[in-house]
Amino acid sequence: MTPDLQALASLDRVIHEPARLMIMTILYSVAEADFLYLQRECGLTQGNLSSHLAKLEEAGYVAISKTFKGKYPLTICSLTKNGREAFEGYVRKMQYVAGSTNGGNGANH
Amino acid sequence: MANSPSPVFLAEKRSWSYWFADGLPQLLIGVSAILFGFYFISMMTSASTGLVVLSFVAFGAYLLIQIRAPQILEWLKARITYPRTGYAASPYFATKKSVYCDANLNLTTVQDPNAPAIAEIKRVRRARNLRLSRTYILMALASLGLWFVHAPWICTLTGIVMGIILWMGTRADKSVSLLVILGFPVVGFSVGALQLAPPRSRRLFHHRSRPPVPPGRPAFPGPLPSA
Repeated sequence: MTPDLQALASLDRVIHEPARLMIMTILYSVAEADFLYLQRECGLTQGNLSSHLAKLEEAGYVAISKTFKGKYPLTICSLTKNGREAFEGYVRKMQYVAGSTNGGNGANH
Repeated sequence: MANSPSPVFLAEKRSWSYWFADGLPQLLIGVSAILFGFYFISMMTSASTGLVVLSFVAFGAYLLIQIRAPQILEWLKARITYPRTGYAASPYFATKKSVYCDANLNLTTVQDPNAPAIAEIKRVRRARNLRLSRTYILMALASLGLWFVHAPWICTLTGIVMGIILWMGTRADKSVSLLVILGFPVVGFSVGALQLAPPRSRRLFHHRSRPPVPPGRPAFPGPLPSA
């Protein structure tokens, strides 16, 4: 198996799913966000978002906590240290693959 | 495709614009501008002690807004914005290991070892708050000259001095528009030129003068006639 294909095969499947990738990207860019914000940004239904968040939480990538901002109850989601590292690793692998397909040397990315 | 911004950058940009999307930051800036305008003009035109006290209250509120703007906004947003459109952490309270302020952010900066640490960000914010407080205190001191010199030119001079202090205090942050800085001399000149600050009324403790005594009447009334 070539290194390019190996990189593809070793992609994190938890993150690779499009909806979860969206969630991870948003949570990577903001320190924390609540359920409603994620739902608006991703355009997912409540049930869909809830199930994807549960999978990410199960993988240890996302921490979910219930708190209050003023009197308003919030379900706050944030990336864990593992989640951040996993996302960065996923991005590096994707860059490697993208570099390879552009005709360049992916290993340099 | 190769030149398009990364999704991380776009998501980050959206979270930043989300902070401003509800208009509350702009409203707060507007309120603080009104408070400072009230303070500045009432210092020049104050006709009563009550107005002087009010102008200092306005200045205190202005200072509070300037220094505690993120907290005030967070408090307002928790009651107005978050229940309706959701909550995303404010850029001011970012707790991740690095805060990206670079407009050229792309995926290659994910591993940036030079990204400022939280402690560094906190130190910079503290220094900024200190610098701003010092600037506003100096501006307040500069405006005190209005109480001691009663001439139209003092308004222009105070405006220029305040503009210079504001420029010197905020040039490192680039947080204050040049329009605001230049606004002080313009307002000072306008107030002086339009005679909005008549010298007689510009006294810290304004005593109402007695009405002129009509001719033929004693200056001080004598004892009441006995019944």
